[in-house]
Amino acid sequence: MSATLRARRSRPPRAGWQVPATQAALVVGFFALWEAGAASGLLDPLTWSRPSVIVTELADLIGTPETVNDLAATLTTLAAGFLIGASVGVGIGIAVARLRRVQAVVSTYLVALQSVPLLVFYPVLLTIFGLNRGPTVIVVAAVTMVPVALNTTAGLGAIPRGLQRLATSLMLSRSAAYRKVFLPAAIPLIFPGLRVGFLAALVTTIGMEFIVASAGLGYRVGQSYHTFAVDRMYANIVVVCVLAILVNLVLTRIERSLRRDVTT
Amino acid sequence: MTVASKQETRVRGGQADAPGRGRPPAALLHLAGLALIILAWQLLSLLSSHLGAPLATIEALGRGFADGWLAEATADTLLHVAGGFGLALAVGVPVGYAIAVNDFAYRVFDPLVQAYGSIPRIVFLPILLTLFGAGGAAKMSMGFLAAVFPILVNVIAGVRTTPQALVRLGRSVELRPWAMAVKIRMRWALPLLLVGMRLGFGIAFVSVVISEYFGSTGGLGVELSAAYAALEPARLFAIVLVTVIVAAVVNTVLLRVDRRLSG
Repeated sequence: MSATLRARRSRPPRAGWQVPATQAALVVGFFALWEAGAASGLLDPLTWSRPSVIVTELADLIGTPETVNDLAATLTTLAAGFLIGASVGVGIGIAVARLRRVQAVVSTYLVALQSVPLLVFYPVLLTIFGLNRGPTVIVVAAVTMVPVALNTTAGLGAIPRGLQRLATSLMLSRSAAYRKVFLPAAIPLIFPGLRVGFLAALVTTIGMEFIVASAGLGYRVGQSYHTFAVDRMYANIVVVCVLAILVNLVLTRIERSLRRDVTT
Repeated sequence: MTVASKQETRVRGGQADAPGRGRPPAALLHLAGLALIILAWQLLSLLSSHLGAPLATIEALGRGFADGWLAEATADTLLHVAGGFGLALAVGVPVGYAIAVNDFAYRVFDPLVQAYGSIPRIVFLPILLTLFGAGGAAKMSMGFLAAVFPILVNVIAGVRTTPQALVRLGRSVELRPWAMAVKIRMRWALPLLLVGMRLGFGIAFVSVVISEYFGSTGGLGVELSAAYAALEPARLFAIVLVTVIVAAVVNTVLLRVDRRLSG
């Protein structure tokens, strides 16, 4: 009985290789169409460039000191903004979870903050801090902070009563209770906030670099546009896309393993 | 032992408390929050001359609307946001639905949608600018590229979580595929679609303003960069305030709709 049930439920609609094969076919087909369009002259090379040219351009790009510098600039800005934002976010999340009186109101503000175009504040920050990385780091931190704080509050609110009793019966001090019981218990819910925050931080870092910075991957895309280096511009866009997709893959993996720890 | 029992009473006391008694009413707290923000703003503006003070900002806001340029820029931006957002809805809902109802399509496309979602869309702006020029089409497509992702993701999630019982109910009364989509699956997915719309409008709005800042013929982003270049903090703050108000109003409206729908 259970065997047939399991067999019916786990019977894949298609064999396992068909999903990745279709995905690969879609991606390859996309680039093949692009290449064919460019080769036939349907797609203006000054607008669309062409995959084969972009690949050679990419090969030139990789390993040059310029790219290494840009990558380092982007990653350090991202790391600084994310770390500040995540720590502030966890702190605010804990504070909001404990101040039950104002919880609803502060959470509303946090949700509202999510819809405020924070990036729009950069000219204001620019006038205060000048043209350096300060404004970018602040905006990135603010963008990271919101989802982390919301998820921390939610995670701490969802802690089973049993664990709260455990902390009390072990007579843990407040900080020890948070460090050893509550925060570890809330991690499966906090992590999605960190993931969303990290992706938002990446998007914001690139976006800020694109409009204000003088180094970084986002800056390089904008700069190659302004200098009409179309092929170089596409190559730079590919670098950003690959970086973003890799980051997303890694974060998804981590999240999945965290969830599995919880359910089993 | 005493600690535990104290904990217990505190928790139980909190639950028994009638709403509105013992804790300040929400409206009052909101008012206090707003006052706190304005106070902090005023104090910060005293520290630095680069910051427009609240009063000066309101004055600049009034002057901007009286002279017409601010209303014009806001209308320009909103028009293109609406265009891109509408397009994202028109594309995102049917495409998301198609991906969600077919298991094979879901397994093929969901990772691709997720991958697309992690890309900072702003890097596509140069492509759009070379394609369409600096006019309205480029920033409208930027708004579309930004808004389509949250709409797609939420439609997919909403449709996929439709309870099997509802689907079977629809089949038993022999609903046509169209009715099945509208009356059962999309009806179920509606609250999530609203979440997607809220997020989508937010990023479409930012993306359009950023596109305008980078290069466009008009709109709030253009005014923002002009005010920054002209070193007029009050004007700059007035424009930022407009964007914040627009975002807050749209967000609140969609939240209200969401709350009414979910009872």
